[in-house]
Amino acid sequence: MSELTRVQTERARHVLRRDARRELWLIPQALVAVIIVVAIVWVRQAFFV
Amino acid sequence: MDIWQVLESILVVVLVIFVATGAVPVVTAAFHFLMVPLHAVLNHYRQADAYFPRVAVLIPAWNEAVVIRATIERMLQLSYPAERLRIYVIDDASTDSTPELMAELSVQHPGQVFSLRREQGGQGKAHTLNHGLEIVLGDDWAEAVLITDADVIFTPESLEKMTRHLADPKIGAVSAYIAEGSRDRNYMTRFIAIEYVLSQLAARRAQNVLGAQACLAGGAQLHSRANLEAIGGRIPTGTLAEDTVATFESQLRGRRMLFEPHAVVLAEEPRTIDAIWKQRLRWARGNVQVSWIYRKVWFRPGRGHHLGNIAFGLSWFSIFLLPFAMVLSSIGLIGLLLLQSDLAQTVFRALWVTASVSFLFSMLVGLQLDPRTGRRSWREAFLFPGLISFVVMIAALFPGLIEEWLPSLFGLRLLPVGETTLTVFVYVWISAAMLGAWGARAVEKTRVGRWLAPLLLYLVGYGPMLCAITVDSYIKEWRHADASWIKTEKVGRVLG
Repeated sequence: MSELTRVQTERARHVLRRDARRELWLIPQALVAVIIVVAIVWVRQAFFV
Repeated sequence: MDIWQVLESILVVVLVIFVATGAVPVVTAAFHFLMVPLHAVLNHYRQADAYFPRVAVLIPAWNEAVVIRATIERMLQLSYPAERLRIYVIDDASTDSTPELMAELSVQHPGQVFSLRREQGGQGKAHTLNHGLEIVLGDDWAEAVLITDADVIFTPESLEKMTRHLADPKIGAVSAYIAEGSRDRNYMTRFIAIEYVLSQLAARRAQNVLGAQACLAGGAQLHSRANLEAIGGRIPTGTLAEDTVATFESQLRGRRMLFEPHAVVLAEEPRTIDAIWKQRLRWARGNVQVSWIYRKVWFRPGRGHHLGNIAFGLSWFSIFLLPFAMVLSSIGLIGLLLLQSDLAQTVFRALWVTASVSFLFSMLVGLQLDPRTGRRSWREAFLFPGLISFVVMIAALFPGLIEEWLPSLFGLRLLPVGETTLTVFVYVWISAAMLGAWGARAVEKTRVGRWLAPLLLYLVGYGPMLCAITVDSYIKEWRHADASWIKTEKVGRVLG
């Protein structure tokens, strides 16, 4: 493997690990959405129905 | 109980089922959005690796002189080994300066940029691509083929983020996230930007989890050579949905298709209702054809592919049959109003509370997936179903707020005749919104269209406009209307 290819491979693996870690943010993001929806439904039940 | 009472009871049940069909698409959408967080763990990153195959980029071009130089120059700046990248522009008998420009670019970048010209053009994108594929697959150089459009700008790391998945031989093709990238945005491009967040960043992640992709984006699809050879070395022609047919054919042969959300490419999108109508009508007619061609695949879980998954089929048909669901829902509500108005009210509330909660959850998930687009287009996100439907959702979530409390601030009270009129209006609105979209397109061409068309679209909604286009596609397919390729005009507005 040439030096250039080795450097590019290392960098590509670093980017791959970073993107895989970024995907983990999907869980808290969905939780935020659920919390907001639950809060709105709670307001509905508490004040409007 | 006499026969008429029995018949009425049966009719009531049928009408309730009609109304319930309106909830199926929104619940299916919400179910898919619930799968988005699963992509955090059920993804392909563990099987992916740094991988730089020799990539032949195919760009079909017909009169693309305004955009082609920027596209190629950005492609040459990709963080990808230069000796492993070749760009082939297939000029489909352009009549502008595309041939001269391509001749110049091939001289400037020898061995990297190639110009292929068809003297007889105008048969459509698939035929143009097949001309290029025949040449590219004719020798052993290319290990992968990237199919893109003349106006699509690839961000520097996008290609290597796609190729890393091809390190796994089970993967046949990878698609990127096509983001709306116009420099000067208008209301339409902001709506499209939100639509792409929902339909790509959210829905295609869910499809990754399900193991089946409905369609690889035509502007950024990377195929392994083995995958292209498995489907005959050519893009299937004969439909208006060549991207979808290629995606289905590849999956039926046992290879997986993937969506890579972090590979971002920018594309120029239509700016008027008429322009998007023509583009989406082509896509929608293609989907009608695909639904029929693969009629033996739907809802039949099979070995080797996941296209027969129940969830995948529900997802496909909930979009394809959405206009039917909306019309059935309205018919059901009006019928119940005539027979049992109290039940109509209960069913209506249940439908809209379900729709509101599903919509809110989907939008909140979507807006966080691409915060930049979310910040720019949050108004279009909430007005996606239209201002009128948004107000109905608020009324469904907070009973009394709109119809009682708000008028009471001004000392007003809704009279019985007003209440009946308003009730009939909101019951019918679910399907009437599609007619409103048709109206918005009609007024766009008039003198007042410049401000009236956007105003109408905000009122009736972008979603109902897409449904109206789907209805138009049913009509055009039923009439076997002319299906010649109409190119979406591009003028080089993408961020450079």
